[in-house]
Order: sequence, then structure tokens, then C-alpha cells
Amino acid sequence: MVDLLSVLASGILVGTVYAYMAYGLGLIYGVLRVVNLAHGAFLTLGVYVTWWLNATFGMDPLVSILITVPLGFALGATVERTLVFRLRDSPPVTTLLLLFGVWLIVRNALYLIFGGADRSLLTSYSLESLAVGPLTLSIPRLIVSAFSLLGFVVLALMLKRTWSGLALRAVAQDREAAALSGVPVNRVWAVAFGIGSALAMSAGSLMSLFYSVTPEFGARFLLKSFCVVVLGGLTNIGGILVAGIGLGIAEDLTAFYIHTGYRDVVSFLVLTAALVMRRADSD
Amino acid sequence: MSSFARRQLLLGLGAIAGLALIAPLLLANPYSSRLAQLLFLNILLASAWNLVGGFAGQISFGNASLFGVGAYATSMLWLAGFHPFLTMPAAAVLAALYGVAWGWPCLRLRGPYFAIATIGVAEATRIVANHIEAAGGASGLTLPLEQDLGPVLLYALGAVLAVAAVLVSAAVRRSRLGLGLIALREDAQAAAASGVNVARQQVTVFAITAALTGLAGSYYAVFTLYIVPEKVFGFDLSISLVLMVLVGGIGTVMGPVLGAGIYLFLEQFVLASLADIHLAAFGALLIFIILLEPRGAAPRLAQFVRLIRRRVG
Repeated sequence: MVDLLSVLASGILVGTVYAYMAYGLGLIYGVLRVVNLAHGAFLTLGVYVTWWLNATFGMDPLVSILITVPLGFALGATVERTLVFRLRDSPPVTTLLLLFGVWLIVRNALYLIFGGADRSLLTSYSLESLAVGPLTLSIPRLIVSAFSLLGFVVLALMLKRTWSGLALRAVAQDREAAALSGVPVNRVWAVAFGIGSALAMSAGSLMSLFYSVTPEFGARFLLKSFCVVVLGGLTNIGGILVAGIGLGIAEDLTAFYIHTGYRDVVSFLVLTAALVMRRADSD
Repeated sequence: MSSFARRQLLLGLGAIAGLALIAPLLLANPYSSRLAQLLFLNILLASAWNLVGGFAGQISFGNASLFGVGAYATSMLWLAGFHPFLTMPAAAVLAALYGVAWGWPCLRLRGPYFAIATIGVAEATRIVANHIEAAGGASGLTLPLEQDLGPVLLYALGAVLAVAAVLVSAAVRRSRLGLGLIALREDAQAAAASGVNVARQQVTVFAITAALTGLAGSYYAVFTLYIVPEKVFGFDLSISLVLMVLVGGIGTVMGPVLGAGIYLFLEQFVLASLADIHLAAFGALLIFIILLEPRGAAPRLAQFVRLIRRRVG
């Protein structure tokens, strides 16, 4: 019983991070109708920037969010302006391949700069834990989970309450109608790509607290992000949160009761099953 | 026999005869015969990928799962005592079955959704393959070196497989099936409304793709004599197929052949000297093709040939 409870608790904690990590992918898809394969690149860049800041200046990963967010925004908006924008009228698969190219370049750059070795980041609280009744919860996971939820609230408020949020939602709903009502669609696209990338990079900052840092980091979590986004509904904040937690729990149950090696199989199978069941057959 | 079939058969025999003529040149040393084997392998794989990726417009990032099934089928049967030639039909059938098993549900998706679903299937397959101890687990299988078929037989086998794949591709392109797929690629709803059985046609062509990809896996196992899950089920393999076809010319019969050659050349001669940046080089190539030459090299080459003809004639 305690086993099951602690598996569930850790699943929930991981799940909130999954949801936060995936949200940028959903936002970009919602506004631009583009499948951002470079999401993996931004996640990986986030982990590396955070690790580097920590290794060089001893900066806390949570503080480095103040750097990864604006950096992610700038990089994302640049990719949109220079590359994605040119393909705005092409079939979505072309953009997907283009962004895959971006990811290959980033991965290679990271291999060149940092090498392929696994690195990890240790803070004063990395190994701390908190006893809640019969459960032992890891402090970094609690913190990261709290930050993810906070990020979600900020984002939801931004989308609901601000003019930029309104413009994003308008373009997501109907690009032409939004353009006719005076929404600067081009700028909204760049902003959406920027926000999506900022979310991915800051998710990398958070995740550096308990995942090892390698150039392949993004490959693993890109597919999980897809899984969460497809399960939860591409732009549905609440759905994404539930899907993230669901995936976290499903993975931890598999790892605990079946085999640790099969942890990642769950997300891939769930991803495919979710896609097929949704029959999202719009091009 | 229709005039098309007769012509294709003659072209195929001509290609085989041509490949037989230049065989002594390519079999001169182990390196050049390995290059020939890799070229045949690439042609087979790229042509197979193009059937569903080019004609039907369904971009698959998961063909490695089919390749791996073929490679493992041949290796395990060979180790069980069957002659490698006898294992090849089994590899094709098993790969086709596996392809239909996941293609049937996934092909209902279109565009980017299909592409992502194929990544999911292929990665799940790779992880599971790493954990099957009966198949050697993560360390893979080593095949009986002493039973190596020898360069001449491997060359002949590869040549026949590659030419057959191109002929299949040409036949599909011209058939009712191929026309249905192209209609589907251009406009799925209109195709369905005009009586194209969208679901069945896609699954049929995917079964052909899977069988050919399985044969490729089988051929790979036979000439490398060593397979590991990370390689034969690897994502890199799936990506290389997409690149080959895009470079050569997607949706054409000769594009994949051209792309297979260009890719092999790049891999062997350009990237060998740039090993550190080969991922970035492929990424840059991908971006370059998509932004500037989305139809690949084949249309350019055709243009060039027409120009020469006009000059000469």
C-alpha cells in the first residue's frame, strides 16, 4: 500500500513537470499549426545553459530560469522569423522536417561544445527529502512541481487576461478573422514561437535538477511532450496538466511493477494509441 | 503482357546486365564491394520508403522498426540452421505482418500526426528489442562468419533486390493503386469521394513498403554478419531514409535511386572528413533542401537531360 502510494506521489510530481515541459509544444501548434520538432532542441539547450551557469558561476537552477526564459524567447522568435515563417503556406510535414534539421544542428553543436558525457548538477538541496506520513518525498521534485504549477497559473492568466493572450487565442481560433480584426498575425506567430521555446528552455532548467544532462536529453522528452500534448488536447491547459500527471503515474507504475527498462515504452505506446484514437485527421 | 510490363522487364534485365558488366570493377577490393552493397541497400530502402512517403505523402519516421524485424528474422533463422536465402521470404513476410499490424491503425492519421505516431511505434519497438534476451538483448547477434556468402553472391543478391525494388516502385506508380495514392496525397477527401478506398490502399502499399524494408534488413544482416538493436531499430536509420528520398526527389521512381547514391557519397566521402559535425551537416542539408529545392535532385537532372537532348538533337 505504501509502495503504491509513493509510486503515485512520485508519478504526480513528475507529471506536473511533464505537463509544463509539453505546454510550449501545444501552444505553438495551437497558434501556428506547426509541429515543433525543435522543441527537443530547446529542452536540451535549457538543461545545458542551466548546467553551465551552475558549473561556472554556481548559479542555482531555479535562478537560472530568469535567464533561460528570455533566452528561449529570443531564440524561438528568431527561428520563427528566419525559417518557419518562410514555409507558412507549405504542408505541415515540411515545417516538421525543417525544424528537425534545426534540432540536428543544435544537438551536434552541444556534442561539439560539451562532449557526449552524461553530466549532472548537484545543489545543496538535491538529496534532501521530506517525510509526509508514510511517504518520503524528494525536495527538488516538490520544488520543481511547485514551479511548474506556478508557471501554469501565470500562463493561464496571461492567455486569459492580457491583450497579447487574447491575440494569441484569436489567431489560434481563426487566423484570417484575427487578421481582419487588426491582430498583427505575423508578430503573434513570432511571439507564440518565442513563448513556446521559453517554456521549453525553462522546463529544461527545472528538469536539470534530477535528470542527467546529455545531448540526447531532448530526444527522450520530445516524445513524452508529444504524448502529453496529444493526450491532453493540443491547447487545452487543464487537459495537458491532467495528461502530464496521467503519464507520470503510468510510467512510475510500469517502472515499479513491470520493469524499469519499459518506462519509456509506456509513453510511446500511449502516444500512438492516443493519436489513433483521436483520429486527428486534419492536415 | 502489356507493353508497359514488357518494357519494364526489359529495363530491369538491362539494369541487371549493366550491373553484372561493371561488377568486376566494384568487386576489385573489399571496400568497393562494401560500397556496392551499401548502395543496393540504400536503393532498396529509399524506394520502399518512397512508396508510402512519396506516393501517398505519409512521412514515416518508423521504417527502422520494419528493417529491424527483417534483420532479426534472418539472423535468428540463420542461427537456427536455415540457409540465409531461405530466411529472406520469412523476413519479408514477418516485416509485412508487423507493418500491417501498426500501419493499419496509424495510417488513419495524416500528415504530422502519422509522422509522430511512427516515431512512437519505432522507439517502443527499439526499447523492447533491447530487452528480449532470446534475441541477444542489447548486445545483439553475431552471425556465423564462416558461412559468409562471399562478395560475388552478395553483389548479385543486392543487385537483384535493388532492381526489383525500383521495378516494384514503377509498377505501383502506374497502377490503379498508385494513382489512388497520389489522389489521396493531393486531397484525401476528394480521393475518398471519387471512390478511392483510402484505408485499404494505404495499408496495401504499406505492406509492400514493409516487405521490401524487411528484405533490406535481411540483406543487411547477411552482409554485415552482426546486428544490434540500437543500429537496426535505430532512429538514425529512419531519418536517413527520409533524407535520401528528399535529396533525390520525393514521389518519383528514380528520385530515391538518385538520393540513395548521393547519400552514400556524402556519407562516405564528405562526412568521413567531417565526422564531428555530421549531424549538423545533415540538418543543414535538410533545411537547405526544404527551403530551396523541395523537389530534390531528380527534376533538376531531368531538366538537364532534356537540355542536352535538345542541344544534341
